[in-house]
Amino acid sequence: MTRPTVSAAGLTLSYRGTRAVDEVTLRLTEGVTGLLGPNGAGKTTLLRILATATVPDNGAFTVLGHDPSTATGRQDARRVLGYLPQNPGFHPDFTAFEFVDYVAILKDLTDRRSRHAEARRVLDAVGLADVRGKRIRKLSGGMKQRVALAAALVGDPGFLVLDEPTVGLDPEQRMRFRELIAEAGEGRTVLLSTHQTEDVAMLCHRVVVMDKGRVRFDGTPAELTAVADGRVWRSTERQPGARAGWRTGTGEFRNVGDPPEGARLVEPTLEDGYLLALGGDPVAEVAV
Amino acid sequence: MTALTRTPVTAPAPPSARDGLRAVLALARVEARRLLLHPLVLVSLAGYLALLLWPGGEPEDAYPVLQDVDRETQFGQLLLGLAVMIAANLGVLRSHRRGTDGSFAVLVVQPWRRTCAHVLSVLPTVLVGALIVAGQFTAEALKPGAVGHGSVFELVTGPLLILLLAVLGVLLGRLIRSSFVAPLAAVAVIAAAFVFVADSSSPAWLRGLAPVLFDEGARPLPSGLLGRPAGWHALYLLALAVLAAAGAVRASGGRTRAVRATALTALGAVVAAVVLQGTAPSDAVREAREVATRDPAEVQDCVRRGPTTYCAFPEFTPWVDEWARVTDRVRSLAGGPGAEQALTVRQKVNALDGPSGTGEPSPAAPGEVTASTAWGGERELEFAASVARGLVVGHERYAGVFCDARGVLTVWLAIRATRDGEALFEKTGEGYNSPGVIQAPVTAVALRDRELTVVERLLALPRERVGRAVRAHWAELSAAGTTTDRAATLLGVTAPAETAADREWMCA
Repeated sequence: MTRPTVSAAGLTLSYRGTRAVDEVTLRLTEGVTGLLGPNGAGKTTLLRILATATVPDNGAFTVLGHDPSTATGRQDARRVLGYLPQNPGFHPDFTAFEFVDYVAILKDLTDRRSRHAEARRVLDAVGLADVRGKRIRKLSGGMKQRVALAAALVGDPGFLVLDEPTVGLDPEQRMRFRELIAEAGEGRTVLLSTHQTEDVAMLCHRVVVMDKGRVRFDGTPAELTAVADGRVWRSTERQPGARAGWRTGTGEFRNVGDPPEGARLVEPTLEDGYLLALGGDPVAEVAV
Repeated sequence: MTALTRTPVTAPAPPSARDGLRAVLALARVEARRLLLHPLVLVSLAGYLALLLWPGGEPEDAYPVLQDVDRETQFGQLLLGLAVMIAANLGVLRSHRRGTDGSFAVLVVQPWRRTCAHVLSVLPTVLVGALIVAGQFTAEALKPGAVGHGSVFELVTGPLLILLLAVLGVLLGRLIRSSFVAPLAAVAVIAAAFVFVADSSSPAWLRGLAPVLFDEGARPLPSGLLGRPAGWHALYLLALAVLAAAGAVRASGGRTRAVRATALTALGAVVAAVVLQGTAPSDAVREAREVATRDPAEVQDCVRRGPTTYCAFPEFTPWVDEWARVTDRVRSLAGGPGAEQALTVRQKVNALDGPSGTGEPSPAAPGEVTASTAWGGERELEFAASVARGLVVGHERYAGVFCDARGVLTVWLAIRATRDGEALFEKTGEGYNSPGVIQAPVTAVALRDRELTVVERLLALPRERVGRAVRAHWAELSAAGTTTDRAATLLGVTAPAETAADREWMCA
């Protein structure tokens, strides 16, 4: 088994009496790990804990061998992690280069020449070499998101935390971003929170499903897909026993749940597995 | 492997205190550049420099008194400082305003070190302010007519103001996360400054709390009589800036022993400076003011030029040549006995209330005329009137307006002995809303409309023609009983009839 780079045990954090993260235990390894879950599942809170932005009420974790529960350990952990929050924010009157350079300073890269070289490197890496002198306010949404990724990659962090980085991007931009995340996952640990099961299917060697603060599934994408083996079927009418069902382009219904006797079973997808991994709770919001 | 693929790197060396300092300095460099190039700072700098370099100005500007010039540098710095305060505050709040707090929170350089960087980032702007002050003062000091001495403490007050206000901007940004607070604070600073100034009856220690110690007296004083606690005020501003910086660092999590010690030391210095400001002026300065006001001869340097002796406070002796030029001109216009009459020109001040005082000095002794501590433009006309009055009237006591030949003669001599005398006389009249008044030192020389009309008619005649008549009839024109009608006749013009308004004046 690959040695874990990030380990967490029993992480718990409550907000106003609600457990946003509830006894989460994780072991992340090199490569891209997807974190799936509905809104309010606790994904962002878990990411903020692992990125050392929030301190858990209980539990412990290490990042590349550093224990963030101590001041020194937290500083050491911050030196080896990159964090791209859901809404990263930008300084619109900075150029892309100035912004990344500013982040590089805050990452304690103090030698001016090597810092500038690093800023150029990460901007080149995310495909923004041509616009690095442009003010951020003049960049498109996709370009801005790439600036944020470049900022997260400054200093070549061993652990990269990405919170829904493809939200709001058009399909082409999303595809480009997937390439970048896939590249970033080579040789480092990437934890990718997303609503897009396609992202997970295309990028991740592992997937964690969270709901109501708890981990509902932890395995490979194939294993998550396998959760739905024998539980997806077609029918001509809506099936009352289905946990989710929708009319497809052929006019037939595709159902996920417990099939009736003799149902016409079909190949499940990762999304089917995800829906079922969420447990027995209604998933009406994804049903059509 | 691509550009994004992670390359194996050696483990980073454990951070040291020096690394932290280097990060602070690197961040301070970036923030300093942004602060200097902030539109608000650039606009205020441009406005400030435009005001300083604007062509024109008053004729008096050619004769600066350096102990006033040093203080005059402070007001522009206060305005620049307010702009820097707002810009520094916006710099501190940038991350909050732009939503980068979330991603920046997990970066290595801690918030308190970032605050240190923001505090240090204001120093280049302070340096720019200091360079402007140095340039402004040097330009004034190099003028041929400059007299007096500037104070280093007064000169550093402006840059220290910028430092204090900028650091206050940083502190406010760390205490209150709203970009409205700094502009409100700027208004509060202005209000506080002017409230303290407006109420000059406030105790000295209370006035010392204001960012700028304004002192707008009637005339400049010799530097030794100012007694301003400029050094203690500079210490007060510096210590307050350090205290605010320590507060900002502490508010952003820097709770080290060094920060606490710095804050306590700065607090002690602030208190000490406030107390010591209240002790000014010293007894020695009070005594010197008393002597300079009551018996200036004791501390003045005198020089004799022909029948005139010029006595000035030592710093003002470079102006003796200017006084002599005007005096000689008056004498040459007067001719005869007026040209030979012994006269002492004595510079006088009323320093009893210090630089804020507005009182005039007491009238000169017989045979003396008063010169003030200002020169150029209208001051030259006023001095010429003082000399002419000395030759014609013989004293400076105010007993009413001149309703006779002496008034006509005095004012005509003053105007004709002064460069651009007519224009200045007209301007003086506009300034005092009474066209026949010259604010000569100690007491004004005032005419009624009737005498003023005679003067205007004389000014319309060739100078030499009137001059010949003055010299020919000097004794009669300068006699107390000679009427305005007679003076007009002697000088070749007619006088208008006396009006009811003329008769309302009390005549000397």
